[in-house]
Amino acid sequence: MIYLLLAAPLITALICLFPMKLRKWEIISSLGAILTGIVAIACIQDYFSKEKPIEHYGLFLDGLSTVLVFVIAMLGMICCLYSIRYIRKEIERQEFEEKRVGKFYSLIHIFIATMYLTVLADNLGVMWVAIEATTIVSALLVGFSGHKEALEAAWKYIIICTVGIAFAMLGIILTYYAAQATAGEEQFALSWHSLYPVAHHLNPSLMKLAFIFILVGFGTKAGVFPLHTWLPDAHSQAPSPVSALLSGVLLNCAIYAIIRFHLLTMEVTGSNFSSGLMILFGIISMIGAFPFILVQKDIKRLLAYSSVEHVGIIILGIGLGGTLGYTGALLHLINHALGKGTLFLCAGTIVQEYRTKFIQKMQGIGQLLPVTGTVFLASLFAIGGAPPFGLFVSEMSVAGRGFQVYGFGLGFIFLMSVAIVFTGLVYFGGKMYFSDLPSRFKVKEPLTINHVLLILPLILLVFQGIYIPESIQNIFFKVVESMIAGGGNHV
Amino acid sequence: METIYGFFFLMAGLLMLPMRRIKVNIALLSLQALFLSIIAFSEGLGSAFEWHSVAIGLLTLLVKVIALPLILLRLVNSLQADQEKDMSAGPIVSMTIGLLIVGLTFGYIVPVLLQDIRVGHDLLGAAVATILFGCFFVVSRRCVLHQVLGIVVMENGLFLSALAITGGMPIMIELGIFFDVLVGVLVMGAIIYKISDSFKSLDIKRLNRLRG
Repeated sequence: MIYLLLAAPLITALICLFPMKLRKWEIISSLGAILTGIVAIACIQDYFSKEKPIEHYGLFLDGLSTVLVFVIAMLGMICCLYSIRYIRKEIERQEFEEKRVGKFYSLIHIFIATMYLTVLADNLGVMWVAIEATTIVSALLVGFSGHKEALEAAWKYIIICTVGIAFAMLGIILTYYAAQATAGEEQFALSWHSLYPVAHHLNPSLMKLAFIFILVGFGTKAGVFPLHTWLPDAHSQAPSPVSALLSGVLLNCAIYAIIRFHLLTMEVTGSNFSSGLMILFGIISMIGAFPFILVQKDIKRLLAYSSVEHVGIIILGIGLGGTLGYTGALLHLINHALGKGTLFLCAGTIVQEYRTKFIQKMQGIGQLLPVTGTVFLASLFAIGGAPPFGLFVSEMSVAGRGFQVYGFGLGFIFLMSVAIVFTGLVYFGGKMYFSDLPSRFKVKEPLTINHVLLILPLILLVFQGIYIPESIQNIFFKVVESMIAGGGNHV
Repeated sequence: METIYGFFFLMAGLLMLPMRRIKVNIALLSLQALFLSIIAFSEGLGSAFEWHSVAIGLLTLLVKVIALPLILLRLVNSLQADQEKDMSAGPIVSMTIGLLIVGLTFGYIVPVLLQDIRVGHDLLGAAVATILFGCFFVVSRRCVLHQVLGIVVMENGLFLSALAITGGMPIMIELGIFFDVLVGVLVMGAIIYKISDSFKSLDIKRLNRLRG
């Protein structure tokens, strides 16, 4: 069953490589995306009915990976289906050649498959290989349009992330060395679920060193502040469905890797060493991102810098730990993925209509695109952290934990930077929505399937903010409990 | 014996730093990979036969000594890019920084920072220094092709450190890394083609459109 989760997108990708009519590519890609989504939901269902981790030849699905699988499934499906109209429009605008569309769909499915492998791999080394593979595949997607800017973004992305991730490998090698002394048999020494039980035998100072390398390496990929330089370029230049996947899912995959190592390091060292580092980097990312948000001119770069800030919030929440911290961070991970995904997709449509990325020139989106524009504004409020959306709840949890552990200072800094970013986002959103539409545009926006795809995540966000069903709450508490216990006893 | 191979491995990396000609650099890179595979062979065939190390040695020989340099040479030839390329730091500065890296690694990083790793030979120092060489190489070069070479140098250093510290990672992972390196270089090559097509240059100074 779990293997089907990797096989479905890969087979779809393979079929898409064959030359055929545009219509057929679209059908195959959508069918593949829906199938992958269904398999993912079935896997999650399977996990909950058994209430224990599913293990299958090197793949491992436990509570934490279920959260990530859910995020990949939701956004993967939405982005693939959304691409269809988006790509047609790009062909109309002569940005894409029709014969290369198959390659695009193929790459996007491979990209999704590598992300699934990242969160399902039981072996640290396989996870590293998968994350490196995501870089390689998505760099091609970022540079897909072949424009100068896109190529520049793709080049920076692949070079910076490959260099960064090499350091993560060094961290993994050190972990392997530490584990070799205890676990003996080499195949098991690198598997997550066999590492946790023997964690207290590992050498603490080695693990501290390994964690620093891991944080730098995967932190580059996650877009943590001083290492984020590739992120705004890649996110702004990629085709919008790809930006949504990069921002909503790929960053989370890198964060997932950091979380796993963080839990392991805490278990080994028995100290707050890794938490301290994560809190530090989390705060730096939040503070570092907001100057760029406030002065931004490019709509997609604005959203990209907001992602840097939200990665900071998630990492901070994980670093703070405890029930509030972990719950907040995990909820925020899901909420940010849904909200930012929607925003990038809306931005894609808006950019296509206005034929520019500059915020100044996008006036009257509420009149030109009543539905997309409104969803865009609502999602901006959501991402800013306004109630009734889920991000309000998750940000409050993290802030609450901040006040609880570090007193007034940390919570205050957190709330201030969230508030400043919120004003920035609402300022831009308001200017775009409530201004008058230049007369050269004709107002018409027929309802399409894409609007459903945009509204669906927004509804989920509202639900998360108002009412989370008890069964889902229980699932969350179980995941969080296992994280507090050190990740060792899987739920 | 391994110390001597390690020394040559280190020297190949160090010599790459001041070289401007890309074909010379590719040759040195291939030489470096050759020493890497010799080290793997000597670990595998030394006191006892270990098929695992031998397999790594063979793979290194095939992928990094033969396949990668050939791919890179083809790329250089088809782009006609074998002129001397500008560097952000001159040859003398580069060499000095290289020597500083060696000093830093053997004087501080290995004995102090990595003191918990007890492997009993000097390969670790060569490996760590090579990773830093690769890093410096990527940063100091202005030609996109050179940056790819720098990344392969880093990867070589990583491989040697895996060999030196743990005696090699599990074979499945090594295979995965080889595959990633190969695909990664191919993809970078494809992007370089497009860059040279639309920028009419391979200088990263031209890649300056995205700011702020």
